[in-house]
Amino acid sequence: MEQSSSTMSTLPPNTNTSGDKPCLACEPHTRIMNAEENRLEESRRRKVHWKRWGPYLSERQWGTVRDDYSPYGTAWEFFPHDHAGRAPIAGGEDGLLGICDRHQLVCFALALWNGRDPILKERLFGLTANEGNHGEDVKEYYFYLDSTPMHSYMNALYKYPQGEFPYSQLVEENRRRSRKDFEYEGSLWIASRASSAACSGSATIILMSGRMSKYLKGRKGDVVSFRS
Amino acid sequence: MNRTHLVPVLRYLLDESEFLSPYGIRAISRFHKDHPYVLRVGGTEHRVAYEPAESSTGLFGGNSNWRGPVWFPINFLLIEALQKFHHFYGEEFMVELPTGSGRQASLWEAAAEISRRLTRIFLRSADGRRPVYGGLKKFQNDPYWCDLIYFYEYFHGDNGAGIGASHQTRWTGLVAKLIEQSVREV
Repeated sequence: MEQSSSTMSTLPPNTNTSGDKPCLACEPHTRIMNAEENRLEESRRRKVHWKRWGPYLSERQWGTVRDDYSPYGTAWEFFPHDHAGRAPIAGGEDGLLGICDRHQLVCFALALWNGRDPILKERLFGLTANEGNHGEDVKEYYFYLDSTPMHSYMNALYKYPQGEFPYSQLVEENRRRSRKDFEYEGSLWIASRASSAACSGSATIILMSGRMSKYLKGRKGDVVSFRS
Repeated sequence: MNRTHLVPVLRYLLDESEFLSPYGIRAISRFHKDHPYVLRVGGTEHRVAYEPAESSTGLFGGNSNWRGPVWFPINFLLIEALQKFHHFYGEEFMVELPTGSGRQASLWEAAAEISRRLTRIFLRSADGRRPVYGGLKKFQNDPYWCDLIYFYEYFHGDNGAGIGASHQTRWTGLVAKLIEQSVREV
C-alpha cells in the first residue's frame, strides 16, 4: 500500500442544500478516510489504476442495434439470443456475471451446464422486441448482491435450473400473450421446484484492481472462488 | 417557477388522489383514471388515461409505460428540485402534506416524504411483504428468494409492484442515494 500514504484529506466544502440542517458526513470538513475512500481518491487523481478491472462485461450483446447488418432495418430482430452461441459478435463481448479490463481486451465469464440443456449457459437468455408481449426482455434470475466501489470484492447469484431450461416454452408463451396480458417471466420453472436452493450458483469474485499480477503472486487460489 | 406557481402545482403533486401515490409520484394523475384526457384532431379522437401498470400500447417498444406508474428518474429530479426551492424559500414556506390532510410541512420535508415513499417500495411492510414483488409468492415467501432485490424499470402507480426490465440498476439504484441522505438527516 505504498501509494496510500495520506490518510487525512480535505473533503469538498459542505454542498448540502438543507440550509441550517447539519450534515454529519460533511462536518467537520476534515476527517479520516477509510481505505476504500483512499483508493477512490487515488483513482480520481489517476495515481493508481484501481478501476482497471471490474464488472464491465455486457450482460448481453444479442438483440442490440450494435450488431445490426440487416438489409431492411430490422435492427432489433437481426441478432437474437439463438445466434449468439454460433456467430461472433462484432460490437462487443457478453457473458454471465463477467468481469473484464476497462478496454474489454481480457474477459472472464462463467459457463454452466446442467447436463440437460442443448446449449451451455454462457450468457443471459431473453427475447427480442417483437418476441416479447411487452418488448425485449431478459428471462433469467440473477442478482448482484454486493461490491466494493473498487470491485476488489464482488458477489453475485445466478439461479440455474437443474431441469432443462425452458427456452422454447418462454418463446412460445410470450408469442401467445397480447399487450393486455402480463409479461411471462418463466415463473413456472421456479414455482415447480420445491428446493430452489439446489438450483442456484453463487459466484464470489475477489480481485485487486490495477495490481492484479502483484496480488496473484502473493495469494494464488484466493483470487477467484466459485461455489455451486 | 416562483412561489405563486409553486403553491398550486404542489397542491396537485402532493394530493394522494392525484399524483402522490404511497410509493412516489405518478407519471400521470390518478384523476385521469375516470376522466381521460381527450383531444380531437382532424376528426380523430385521441385519449390518455391513467394506466398504473404495464403499457397497453407499442410506444417506447411496448415495455415502458409513462402513463401512470412511478419512475425513479423523474422522482429523483423532483426531490432535488424541492430541496433547491427549500434552499431558496427556507423553512417558513409551508405546504399541506399531503393535500387535504391539514398538516403543514416545509419543502425539505415534502422532498423527504417522497423519498420515504420511494424507499418503501423495497422494504418489508407491516404484513411482511415487499411492495416491489407484489403477487410473486416465490419472492415474498421463499427464504432463498425473499431477500434478493430487483431494481425494476418502473413501479405500479397504486401498489408499488415492480414492472418492466428487472435490472434497471442505474436510475432505480438511486434509491441508495435516497437512503444515504435520509440516514444523514437523522
